[in-house]
Amino acid sequence: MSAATVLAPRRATRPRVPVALAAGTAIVAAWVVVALFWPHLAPYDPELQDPLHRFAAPGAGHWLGTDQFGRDTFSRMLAGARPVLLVAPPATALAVVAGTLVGLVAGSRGGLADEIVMRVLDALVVFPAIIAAVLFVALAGRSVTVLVLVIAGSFVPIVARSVRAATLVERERSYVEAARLRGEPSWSLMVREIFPNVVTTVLVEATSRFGDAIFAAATLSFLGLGQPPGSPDWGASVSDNRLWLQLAPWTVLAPALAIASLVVGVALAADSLRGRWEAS
Amino acid sequence: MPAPSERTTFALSPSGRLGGELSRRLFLGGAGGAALAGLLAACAGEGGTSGTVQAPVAATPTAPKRGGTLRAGSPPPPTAVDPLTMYDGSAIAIVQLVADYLIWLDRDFKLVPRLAEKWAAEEGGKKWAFTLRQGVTFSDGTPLDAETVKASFDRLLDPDGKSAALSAFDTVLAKGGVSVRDATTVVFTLERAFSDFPYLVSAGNYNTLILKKDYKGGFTEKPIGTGPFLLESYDPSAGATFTRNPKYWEPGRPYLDGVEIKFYADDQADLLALQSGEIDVQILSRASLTGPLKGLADITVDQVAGTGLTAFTLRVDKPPFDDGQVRQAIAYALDRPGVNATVYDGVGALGNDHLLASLFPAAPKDIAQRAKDPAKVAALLGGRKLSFTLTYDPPSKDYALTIQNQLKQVGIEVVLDQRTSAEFYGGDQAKDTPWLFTDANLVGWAGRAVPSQFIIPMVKSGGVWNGSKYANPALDAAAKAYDAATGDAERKAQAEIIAKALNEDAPVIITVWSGTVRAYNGRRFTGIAAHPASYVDFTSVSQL
Repeated sequence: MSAATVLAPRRATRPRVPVALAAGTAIVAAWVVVALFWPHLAPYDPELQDPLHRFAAPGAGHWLGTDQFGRDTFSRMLAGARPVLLVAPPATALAVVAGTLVGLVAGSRGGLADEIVMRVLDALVVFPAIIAAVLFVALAGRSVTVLVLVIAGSFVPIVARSVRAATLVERERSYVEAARLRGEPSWSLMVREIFPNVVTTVLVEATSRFGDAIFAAATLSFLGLGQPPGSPDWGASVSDNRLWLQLAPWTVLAPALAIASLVVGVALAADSLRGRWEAS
Repeated sequence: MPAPSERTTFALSPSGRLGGELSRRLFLGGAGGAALAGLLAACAGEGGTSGTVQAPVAATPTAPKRGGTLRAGSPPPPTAVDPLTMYDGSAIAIVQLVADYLIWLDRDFKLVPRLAEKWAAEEGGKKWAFTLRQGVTFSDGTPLDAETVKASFDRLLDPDGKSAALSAFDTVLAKGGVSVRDATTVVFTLERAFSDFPYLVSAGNYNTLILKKDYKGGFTEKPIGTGPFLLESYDPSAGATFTRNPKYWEPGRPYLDGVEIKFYADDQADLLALQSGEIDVQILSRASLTGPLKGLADITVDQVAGTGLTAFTLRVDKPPFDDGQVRQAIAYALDRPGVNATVYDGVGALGNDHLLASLFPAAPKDIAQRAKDPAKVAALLGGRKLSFTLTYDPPSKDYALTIQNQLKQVGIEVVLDQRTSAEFYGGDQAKDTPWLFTDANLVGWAGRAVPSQFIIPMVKSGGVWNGSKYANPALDAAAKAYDAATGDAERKAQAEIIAKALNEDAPVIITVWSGTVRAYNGRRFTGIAAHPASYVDFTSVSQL
């Protein structure tokens, strides 16, 4: 091998997309597609009962078997994606926006206002989210809006604390001090100086909370606080079928694996993105 | 019948049975009453659904083997184990092992003498005299006498007490109606003639156990009875142990040395315990969960028909159900075998929208079984678009989902309105409680020993649990005549009037009469059987 060959410049290559990011994004994207188009993808009406084929094992007729009502498990698994994805993304967005606002304001202003806000948030964090959810749903009734508010409400303190911590660090940096000496008003310090430097924290929180929101939505449904009875919602399906785990394990495994796959997909993508953001 | 408000939230329900899914805890239930749930089984020979799904491997020995301890699984009782107030299957089972009734209600719906050897009606059925078995003593040596029996029923009839049996006796027997004729004869003076009265003082009314005169509660601390076993220990979180009662009145019984009941809070754990051999029998088996047991060589699943039901009640005094054709359309839209398969795992018997189950001896035989008929539905509705809200509580969820799906197939839209049990049975019982005042609802009723216990409260004009607000003078008269009738022909004639009226008017749609199962280890024990109310009688159980 000649020296020329060794020293020849390497051909430029495109940046490689991490496998984890690609896999995670693909999983999430697949479920989004399913949530949007399940009526065209499901082989059966997910609500259609067939008393003659209850607890049918997975096979050619029903790929993932049937449940106690003779409903097609595969079709219900596909249809169950929509309820979760109708709740988790808006709940996450609402929590991140509200939490960021609270954390940014509290961290930037400091003083008594910060103390009051943070003690309130501490109290909210300590209060069991599930109990709060049960109370809220009992008072407000079951609906997608209520679920979104319940989940978002439970995440706001978490996001706010993270953003506030990052804000406190940034607030002491010299560039903020310089801006302050320049006479920039406090809202400008917060929005123009500090926020761009805590955005990584916000993004990290957003990705983390998205996975949590999926799980929270499934948990609330499992507890009977989510979708109406009969819904193919994954959490509700696990709850409804757990009694028959021994007789028809597919009725539980299908929705459980669906939840797991979506959460794992989000986690893979989030971890990868988080690494990139923090590195940048 | 008194307002069903004597106890807990669930006790407000006419059923302890939690809807389509039999609650293992409350399934006997109900404030309602007479509870008993029922009868049964009309016997396989008559085309009933009684029977053993899987025969025991070993044949019954000619001479029962003595000794051994039977280990049973059951959910922990949700409330105190007190014969006077109990309403759940576990508590009832515990008490039935220790105490006894005047009369036992067998799985074939026969009255079997226990502490009462015989009984007879007097004054045309307005008085009933019960002759007690002689030589019976309580486990502490106290002899059984008529005063003791009177004291037991006085407690049950005390309107100021906490008796769960009050509603069963309503309009039939009131406080002060029990007297002692002599040391072995108790007389019940009724408020009206009631030919089925013995059922009300039998196990069919499960609170009517005979206890000592001075019983004031605390049964598990001082468990004294005349039953086949002695309660040795009781732990609300773990279980109970029993030993053979040497003073038991039936010679040679029981065969077992003892019984151990283990509590499992979860259905699956109970089932797995049976499969693994940790227990030998389930007290409260669920038909829908016994599927995994089929094919296992040492497990036998016995099943028996019953008279429990889920009442699909329609308000006949409000649109759209004030139109009889609309009610009939719904009745003809339902696939009853489908409901039976889906909700009752096929163990039930088809209903025909009247309250005379085929297991009741007076049940009419000539009313055609109603079946799904989409063409008739269309004709009855005449092109009208029907949509309504169906209210129910969680135990009836499977039933609600099933009929929602079935009605959807004929173009009838049902909006499900699931409430908590507390909410469903709560509210003002005279004005707005959902289970009595919503347009359409589902109410689980525990089995009853006699049809009057359904008819009087549920469909008689002004009945205390008449959620449909149905009023039919002809039916009222027939119901009264039925209770007073002393001859079979007259009873059947009145029963036919009642059944035809309900079938035609359809204020309450009854698709299935539920049944029960009991799973046990057929290799180790014999003599175990299902009971329509899941009662336990282990006096004939023996080891193989």
